[in-house]
Amino acid sequence: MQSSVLQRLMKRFDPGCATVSRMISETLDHPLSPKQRWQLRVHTLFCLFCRRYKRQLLALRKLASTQASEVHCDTADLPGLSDIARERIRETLTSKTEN
Amino acid sequence: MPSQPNNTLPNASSQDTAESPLRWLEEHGDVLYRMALVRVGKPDLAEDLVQDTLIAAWQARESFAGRSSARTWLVAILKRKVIDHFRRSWRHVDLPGELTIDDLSDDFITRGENAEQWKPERAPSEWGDTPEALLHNRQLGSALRQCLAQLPESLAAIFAVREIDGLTTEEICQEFSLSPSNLWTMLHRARARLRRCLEKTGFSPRA
Repeated sequence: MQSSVLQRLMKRFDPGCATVSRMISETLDHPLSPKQRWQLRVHTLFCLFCRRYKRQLLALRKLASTQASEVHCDTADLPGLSDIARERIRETLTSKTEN
Repeated sequence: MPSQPNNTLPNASSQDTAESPLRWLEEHGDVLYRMALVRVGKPDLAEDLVQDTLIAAWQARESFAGRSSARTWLVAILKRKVIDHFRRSWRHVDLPGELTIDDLSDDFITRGENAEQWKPERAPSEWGDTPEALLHNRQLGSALRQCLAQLPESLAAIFAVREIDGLTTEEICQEFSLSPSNLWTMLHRARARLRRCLEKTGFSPRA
């Protein structure tokens, strides 16, 4: 009896995974309202999938910024300009001297 | 771009000066290209952006005057060129239509007792104890680029300026004339799709 009352209360308070997934994304962009923060905290306490979702969005953010810094520091394992592209750009740059 | 009467590039004999675009191409072309590539995903477009950057840099060379390293200066111009490209292609996107289609509803149960919960087949799987430790995995970087290329252009652009360039949400709203709420929705959709795509291609559930 007690647990079903608790469950009903939880259901009323809990916005559900679809809304919580949006809240998780929004924590990366702006502070949530105090009510949203509580909803998120309580929900993720009980929901394994949303806990994973949160960690994965953080990993995605880290992955994107790691990509950016590796490229910037010239340690990325990415091809550079192809010889053909380099030659084409060189010709375009040189042709400007004739204008 | 300002047009100047003597706005010509140096000829081959004077190429080797510090402020030669041909020298910039030799020394910084690969880095500029890779920076463009991780943002726009398409090699031919990235090449064009490098070329535009070098031309713009040459035209604005007087404003450079050695105040920073050539690379820092060229990188700043390239980043601006990438955002300009995103803004130009933005106009061709049917933004309101895109925002009304809820493509994420596939992830969640829509009716009944379990409405709003993850569909079992779509629920986030375990990526391992420390997904952070996998970040330097080169395959993941390439998976991210492939997944970005599969996003609608506007979502990919928004994700790139936010998470790769690290612009603030205020800056992005201003650049793209978006309300904060529209921006948050777009970022939510971009991240949700990328997460799902990475799960399929980059992270396999632990066996």
